[in-house]
Amino acid sequence: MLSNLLIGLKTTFSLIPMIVILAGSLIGLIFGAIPGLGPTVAATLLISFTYTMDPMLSILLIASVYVSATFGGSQTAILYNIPGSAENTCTAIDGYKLTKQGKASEALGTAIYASAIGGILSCVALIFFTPYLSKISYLFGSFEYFAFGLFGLAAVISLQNSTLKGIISAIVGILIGCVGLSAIDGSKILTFNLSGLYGGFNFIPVMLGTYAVAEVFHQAHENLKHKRIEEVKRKIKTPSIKIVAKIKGVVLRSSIVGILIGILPAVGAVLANYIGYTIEEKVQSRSKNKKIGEGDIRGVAAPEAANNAAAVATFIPMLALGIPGGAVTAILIGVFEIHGLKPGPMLFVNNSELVYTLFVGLLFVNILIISLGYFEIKAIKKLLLVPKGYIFPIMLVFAVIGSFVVGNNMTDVYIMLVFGLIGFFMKKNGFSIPILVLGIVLSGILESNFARMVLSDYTAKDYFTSYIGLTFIVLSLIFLLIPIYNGLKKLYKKH
Amino acid sequence: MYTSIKKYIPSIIIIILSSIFVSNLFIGEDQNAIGLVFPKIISISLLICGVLLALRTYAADRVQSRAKDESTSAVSQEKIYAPLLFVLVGYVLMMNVIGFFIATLLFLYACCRVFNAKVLHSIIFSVVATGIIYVLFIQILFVPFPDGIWIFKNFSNLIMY
Repeated sequence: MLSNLLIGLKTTFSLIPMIVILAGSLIGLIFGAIPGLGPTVAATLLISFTYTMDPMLSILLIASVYVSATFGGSQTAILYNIPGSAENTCTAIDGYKLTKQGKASEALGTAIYASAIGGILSCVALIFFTPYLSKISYLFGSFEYFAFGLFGLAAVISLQNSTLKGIISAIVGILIGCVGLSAIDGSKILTFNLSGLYGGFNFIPVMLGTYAVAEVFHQAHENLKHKRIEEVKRKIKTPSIKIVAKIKGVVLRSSIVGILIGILPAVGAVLANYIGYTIEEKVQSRSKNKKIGEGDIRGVAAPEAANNAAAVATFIPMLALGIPGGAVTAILIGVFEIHGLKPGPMLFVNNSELVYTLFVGLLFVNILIISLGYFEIKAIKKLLLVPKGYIFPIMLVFAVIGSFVVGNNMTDVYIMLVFGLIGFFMKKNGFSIPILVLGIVLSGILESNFARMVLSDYTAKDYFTSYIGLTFIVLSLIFLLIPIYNGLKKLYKKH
Repeated sequence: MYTSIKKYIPSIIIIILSSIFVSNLFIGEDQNAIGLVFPKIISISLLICGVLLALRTYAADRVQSRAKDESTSAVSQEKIYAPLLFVLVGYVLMMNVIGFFIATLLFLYACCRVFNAKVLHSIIFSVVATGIIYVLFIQILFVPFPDGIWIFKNFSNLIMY
């Protein structure tokens, strides 16, 4: 492992990868800070650049965009109560109250260092845990892979306001992913005898349509009017010894929470920000000097450490098992496929240099966050005032370009447009686009492993003695049934 | 009445689509194919979910039948969707005719105008942005965009090569 890490270190710290990481971090920071854009939109739009790039550079670019965008929205959340992206929602609660109390500098400094430490700790877990997980991936047979994929979907569905709409989003995604000839026996799945559909839908135009185009249509009206940006003192203060003593346990705890959430398939950094904050709230509720929710530095440190730790940890299931840890890693799987690579255990055997360069690159981006934070604070007001009327047209042109370059033909552009409208319709009616996309990504794993389970001579006893698979199935059922039970209970009370 | 029907549109679309999927999967040559088992289960699940969504909408409708939940902002939102969609569809369809370069220039200008940008700002923005896109994707990344037909093809060839 050490020799691989040294190779990764050497590759990362050469000129071109450094430029790519720096550019990706800056782009991520900007997308993270502008409300409504965030890491997923940034990663989706950058796909068009990755076709002609070296695979390693493409992956480094998207990875650095993801990590810095996850952090990018924290400063707008603290200073103006406008979380740049969903990953920073809970940071605004205590962060903005601290600004109101005249402690913005301390909050900004804490956010930067907590994010960096959370990310770095997660990188350590990534470096040591991922190769180990890929080595024990032999314990994962068809049933275990199927159950793990199902568990990922169930976990994100359970977080939706409407479980039913979450399930529908997942099913629609799975069906879109299934279109084409079956990988198992070549049977035609929803091709309607159109030869153009035999290869299935290309993932990239579908992603660009459902994320970028649908997002533009969704935000077209509401985000054109700017919030009034009040003038606040924008200065970053490195956390004092007193603050460090106060938050060191919080950062460690939240980083562990973030790592565990990131490892779960499909869940990602948004939930980590929320859970990191909630856990801290619960922990502090027992102490006498409970201030979380009223402007407490721990309320900034916890969600920021958790979201960055989760952002890095989402790479663990993707690299070790080929199952995305969140929406951006789902996009990254698409980038891997563009370059003919398949994430999973074999990646460590065939492309170990790429994997370890990614590890070192992620570590570097998290260290870079500290200096990026100082840069962002200077540009923050301008970023918030960038007119959406200029950003949206560019987003649409990039979506068209990104779809066109998939096969250098207009068919993929038309597909992108259709999926843009589908995505917009779904979004407008309360369905979830991230779940739809995860459904598409996980459809291959679910469909092929289900078919293998049917083909194999597994007996009921085999299923019941597979503890890994059974655990995930039981957890999936719990995740899906609890919201349904709560919904029915609410309905019963109403009547 | 229209508001009431509008609430059912998602469930109606899901039921219709899933019915098409189910019929496509169940009426075919190789019904015993293993590869079809999972899509069949999934499409039936979608049909059931569509019916459940319709029932849930009905139940919710009964509970708050008198509540007026359509705000005026929803109407004004739709005002911007139609021109935006029109401009985007026009851009995509015209690209093969007038070429990527001119289509992008016109699209960016029209799009800015849809978003209420000033005429002069829209012109400057569309020219600068098209220039950057041209350098980035055509000069550096060599993406072979559509160059249009007739006189537009000559124009595209003139600027691209």
